[in-house]
Amino acid sequence: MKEITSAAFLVVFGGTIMALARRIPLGVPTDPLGPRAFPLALGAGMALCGVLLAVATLAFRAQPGRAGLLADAGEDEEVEAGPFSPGRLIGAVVATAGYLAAFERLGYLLATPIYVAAIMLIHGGVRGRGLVIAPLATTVLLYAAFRYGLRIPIPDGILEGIIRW
Amino acid sequence: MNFLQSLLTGFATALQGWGLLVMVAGVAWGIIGGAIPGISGAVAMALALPYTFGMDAATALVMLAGVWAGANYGGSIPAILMRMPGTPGSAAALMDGYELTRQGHASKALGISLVCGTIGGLISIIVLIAMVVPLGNLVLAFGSPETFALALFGLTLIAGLSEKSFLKGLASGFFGLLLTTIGLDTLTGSIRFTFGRSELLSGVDIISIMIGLFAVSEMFWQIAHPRRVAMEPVSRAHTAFPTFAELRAVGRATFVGTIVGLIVGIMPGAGATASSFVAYNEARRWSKRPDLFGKGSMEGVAAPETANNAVQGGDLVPTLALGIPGSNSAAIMLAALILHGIVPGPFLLSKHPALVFTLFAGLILVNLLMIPVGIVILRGCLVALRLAPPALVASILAIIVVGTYAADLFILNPLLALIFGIVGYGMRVYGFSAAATVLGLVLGFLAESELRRSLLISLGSWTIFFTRPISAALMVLTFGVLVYPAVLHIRDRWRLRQTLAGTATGPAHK
Amino acid sequence: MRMHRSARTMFVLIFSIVLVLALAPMRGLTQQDFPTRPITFVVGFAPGGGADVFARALADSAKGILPQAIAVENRAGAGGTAANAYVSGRPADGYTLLFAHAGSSIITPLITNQPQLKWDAFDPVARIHGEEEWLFVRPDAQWKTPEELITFAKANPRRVRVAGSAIGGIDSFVVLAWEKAAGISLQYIPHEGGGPAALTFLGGNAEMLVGNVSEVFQHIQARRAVPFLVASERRSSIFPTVPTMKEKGWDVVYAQWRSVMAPQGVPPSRIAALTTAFQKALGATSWKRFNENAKAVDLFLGPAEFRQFLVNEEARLTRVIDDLGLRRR
Repeated sequence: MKEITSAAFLVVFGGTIMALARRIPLGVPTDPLGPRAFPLALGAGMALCGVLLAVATLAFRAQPGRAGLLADAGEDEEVEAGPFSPGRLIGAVVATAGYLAAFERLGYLLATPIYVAAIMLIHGGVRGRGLVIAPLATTVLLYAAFRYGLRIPIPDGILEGIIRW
Repeated sequence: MNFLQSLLTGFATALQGWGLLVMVAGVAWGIIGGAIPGISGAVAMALALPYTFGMDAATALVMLAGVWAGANYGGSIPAILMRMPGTPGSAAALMDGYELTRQGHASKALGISLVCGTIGGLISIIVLIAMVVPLGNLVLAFGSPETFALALFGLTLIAGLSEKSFLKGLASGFFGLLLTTIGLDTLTGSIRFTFGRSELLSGVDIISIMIGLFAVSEMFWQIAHPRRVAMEPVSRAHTAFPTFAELRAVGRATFVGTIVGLIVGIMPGAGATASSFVAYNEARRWSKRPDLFGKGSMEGVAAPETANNAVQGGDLVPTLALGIPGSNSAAIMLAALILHGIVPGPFLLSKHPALVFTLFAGLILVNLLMIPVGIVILRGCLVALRLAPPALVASILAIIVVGTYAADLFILNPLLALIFGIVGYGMRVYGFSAAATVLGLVLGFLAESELRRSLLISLGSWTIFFTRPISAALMVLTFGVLVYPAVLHIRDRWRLRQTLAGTATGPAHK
Repeated sequence: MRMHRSARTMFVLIFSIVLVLALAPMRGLTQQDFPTRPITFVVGFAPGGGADVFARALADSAKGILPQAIAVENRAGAGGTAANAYVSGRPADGYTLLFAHAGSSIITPLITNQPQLKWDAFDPVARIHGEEEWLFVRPDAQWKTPEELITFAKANPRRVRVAGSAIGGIDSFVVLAWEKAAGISLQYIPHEGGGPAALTFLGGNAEMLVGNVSEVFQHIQARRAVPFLVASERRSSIFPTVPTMKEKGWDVVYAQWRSVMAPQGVPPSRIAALTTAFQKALGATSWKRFNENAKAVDLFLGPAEFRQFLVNEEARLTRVIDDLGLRRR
């Protein structure tokens, strides 16, 4: 099933790229290939891989053990990894997105401890005090390293102007 | 003054006064800068540049050389320990390095990276010193067709990275190649795949994508799959350094890495990243245990790490001989020269011999200094692994965001890391190869632009790739590399059929 | 009017105080009070490149003239316009400056249809210096004069290969404009920068090179490159025997000028302070040496004249952009 999904995805994605590539502006014509050739070929390549994948999967479905083009699709990864928790994954993604959104506006110093604490909570396995120490320590250490060590301006966000050490 | 005397004087100059301290500081800065994801060697050097204003030209160059060498090693630290390439050049070492960490051999992997990298760097510097002028002329023989042929050769590695599923690996590689087309096209002025966003005009940031595909996806994976048992704890005797026997075992890979790094380094346009992947590929081809690659092969760490350090000598060839930088890092060295009032170019050696020899001496010294400084920092980093998983994962994610933000001060880069973290996660679930995508990313831009430029040079003729000797050789090599396994496969199947049919028995095959 | 002595004293005292206060320079309005902290000079290109080196050299030369240091900040991306975007969002207090040249402040914003990133969305501070655009050939070239080249090019369209930097950069404009003016068809080979272009030329893969002298000066001395034409108003003092395009009848004049700009709305007194400082910096030994090595000439223009120059420059470049059909719809 995973194979068919992958194959379908490749065909759709490759096809979309080909369609988009057709509309790339030509610019100043210099080289014979132009800006469209590469994307077009790559889109076609991906779509072709999808088609071949689908064909191979369907054709060999009746014959298990025929490795080579197919092989297992990452099943062994899951077995050793343990139970899957979609909630945690979504939580981590949302938390990170939020961190990025707040980074420049709130500023690094406010956003980072919140983010680190959030990820630790989502990850699980944390005791109370650790939830406070680790975020603060990480925030301060990174700030020192970047601002004073490397002299890179990290945004202060709403604290800008207030902090001037 | 003859050559050896000049060199010895160079050593004396480099070591006088604060020289040694400056070199140590440079190397340390480079290792730490390289270790921070998002900060590449060139960025670390650029950050050090203002500090060099007060120094004289020779000291400035030597310090920057130290940063450069340090960063080449530094990038492998997070790559091996946390699956997070600190610099693009360490992405190739990540594949086996992280596996080794999972097996509890983090320290050995890091040790190999350090020692082999130093060896590669030293050899390339010695070659540079000995042959800078003749090599300078050789650079001019490497034009667009040769560079394209090399990129194509490097892309054949996709076949090797797609162990699980060739078609999916190929598609992953195509995807990586596709990503490099985003942005302004230098050859026609056309704008591709930016959907109106000006932030994408210069293309996507490769390192942010790499970090997303490898490190962010790994962090998300660990969060989404809470383990009852923590990852292999590093606290025990796993701080052991590689033994002499182990170092000798990776000798062949180191040799391969040095050669590849030298050649690719001399070619302008291809740098540490390309060389590390090509070296990985070649080391695997010539290895006695190719099956170990991808599962924790020491050679899989030695070869790319040697190559990305060996590029330093090669990069300096066009830089010193022609005044044209061979890479971004070399460009900063040139900038330092210019800012100190020295004009780079083919006359640099004859007009400022003392400076050049001091630089040579300094390059040797900083590569040697990498070992002690590297060991100290390495031990410090190993301590980090003792953090409890929640804190470690959270800190890594925070470092990723800040680090990718820091280089260009653009929120787009951390966003790319996040997006490709999700993409990488999905690829892992569905059996695609993130490594193949990264390979496509690394070589894609070079492949496309040099291909098109070659056609311009040849005035439209496709035969140019075969009429020029170096390019023809590389093309034949590429073809052979693709065809050979297929030929073997067919031969093995034929033999199998023979055996099953009960006729002549061939020698047992794998 | 009769006043008490004490009242009169009081009056005189208060009057004096008010007079002194009125005449004394007010805090915050004097030149001396700007700058009180380091200034950031944002460059939209990678460290080590021409723009970056220029910025660092200028910052270095301004040390000692301005009471505070200028720190260079690299924000490469989007053809240099990432820096434009960033600086336009900064407070207009004179503490953030922007590096600008024709590509990043006129051509790229026009090509990508982003008027908010064009030069007129900023306050020009000063045009500093520039390098001339040259055409080079190899010593063994079959053409000894531009006329011979034109004859050959007309008989062999798209046969003469010219190496230069990316399409949309000044190099490409020189060649494309020259093609139009002379009625010839060349084969332009774009590269990511002047360095790679020089390599293609030196390696024998192109007959001509377009670019600045600084990139190939020592190669000229080593007899690997010969300056052939220069795209300037008058003959250059570096190679006075080389004819200009103009004197041959082709109106192709382009220079790679570099300048400083600021976000819109900076108080004029601060702009003036910066302009004066930069003008003085041009007299510094380190700057003179930099210019000398870079084979660049000082092209200093203050804010008003620079603005006028930019208006004309944009008009000129727009014509070429439209001719080439480069403008994004």
